[in-house]
Amino acid sequence: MSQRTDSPEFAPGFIWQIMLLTVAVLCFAVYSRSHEDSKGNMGVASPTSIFPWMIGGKQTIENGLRAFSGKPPEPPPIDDRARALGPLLISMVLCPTVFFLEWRRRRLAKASFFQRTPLRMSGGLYGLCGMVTVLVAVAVGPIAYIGENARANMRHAQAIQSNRDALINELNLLALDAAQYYILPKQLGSGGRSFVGYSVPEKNAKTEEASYTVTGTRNVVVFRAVSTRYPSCAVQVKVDSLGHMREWIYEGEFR
Amino acid sequence: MNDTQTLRLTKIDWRWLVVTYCFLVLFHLLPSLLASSLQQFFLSNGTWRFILWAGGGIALVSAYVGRRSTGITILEPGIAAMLYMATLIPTASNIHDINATGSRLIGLLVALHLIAFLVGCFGAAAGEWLQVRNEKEHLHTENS
Repeated sequence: MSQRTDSPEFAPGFIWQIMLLTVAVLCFAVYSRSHEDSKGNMGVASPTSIFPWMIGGKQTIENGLRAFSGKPPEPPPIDDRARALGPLLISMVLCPTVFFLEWRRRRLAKASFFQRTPLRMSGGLYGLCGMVTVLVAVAVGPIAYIGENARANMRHAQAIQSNRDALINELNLLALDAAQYYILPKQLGSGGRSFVGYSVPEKNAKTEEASYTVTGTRNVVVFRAVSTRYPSCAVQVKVDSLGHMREWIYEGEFR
Repeated sequence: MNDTQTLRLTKIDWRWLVVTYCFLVLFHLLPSLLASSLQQFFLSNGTWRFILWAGGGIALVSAYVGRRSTGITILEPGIAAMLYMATLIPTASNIHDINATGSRLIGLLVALHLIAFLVGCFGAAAGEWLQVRNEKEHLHTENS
């Protein structure tokens, strides 16, 4: 191993500067630790993060909790906005700028990261900004993909749910129609205490949401609705002589 | 290893000790605090992830210090890592949530500090090895 030499390893004042910066970081660590205990209006702690979507997520959760309690959503408070904007500027503007400018300077000076020049504060800041830049760059891709994927899944699930609700609504109308057919006498073109001869009205047999078919016996009919938007999804229900709907069966993604 | 080298190994350069501690805080604790999703992942799920997270950071920073310092710098990163662990446990870990009390908790804390010391020393030794290798390569290039 090499011997110690008298060559200066640290630039003048480097140790004091880095110690001051370390004390500041430790204060920040203690602050963020104590801040974890202080909760927002609806009991959600505000995260301290270079990723602004963490604060966006906290706001979404708070709005959801407010909606659940029957309160209107509130705009984010000013300190949350500052907490989102500050890290955004630091992590995505300041740090990459410092890092790339210093990197360019070093490239032009042909200096290596491991070069034996005295340690300076500028080198420390370069490393710190580089770390933040890399951290953000590495995190942004997977988080954007996961976030977009989650949003797409949620939209799909909501669309399926809406379609299912629409089918159930239309099946309710068909059940009423069938019950009416069952009750009214034959003289009026109805069943006269029987479902025999009942068919889905032509205008309701195929709608924007689904196509309907009916099968049945004298006292029970079975409606089957196959979704138009999602053909693998279907709903089946039995309607008895009293017009009661029972034995719902959901198929495909409706399950 | 002769007596002079032994003396050098045991003589502590306080400047590198301070700088290693500062580097650990700046390049390990601060990014972890800023990327709070990382912090959530490593600190909220038991001791092993915490040890991996802390040990990995300590090893890298110690290796850099060992590589960057002019002389033999092995004990300094080890001691700095131990001090850093003492800082890390109250400020950034959820170790008190672990179901350990009394002697078990003390044992865990001692073990964590010991692990930090050892990882720091090993990291610095790896850095020193890299330094020697690079110096040899440099000498070889100059001679040829």
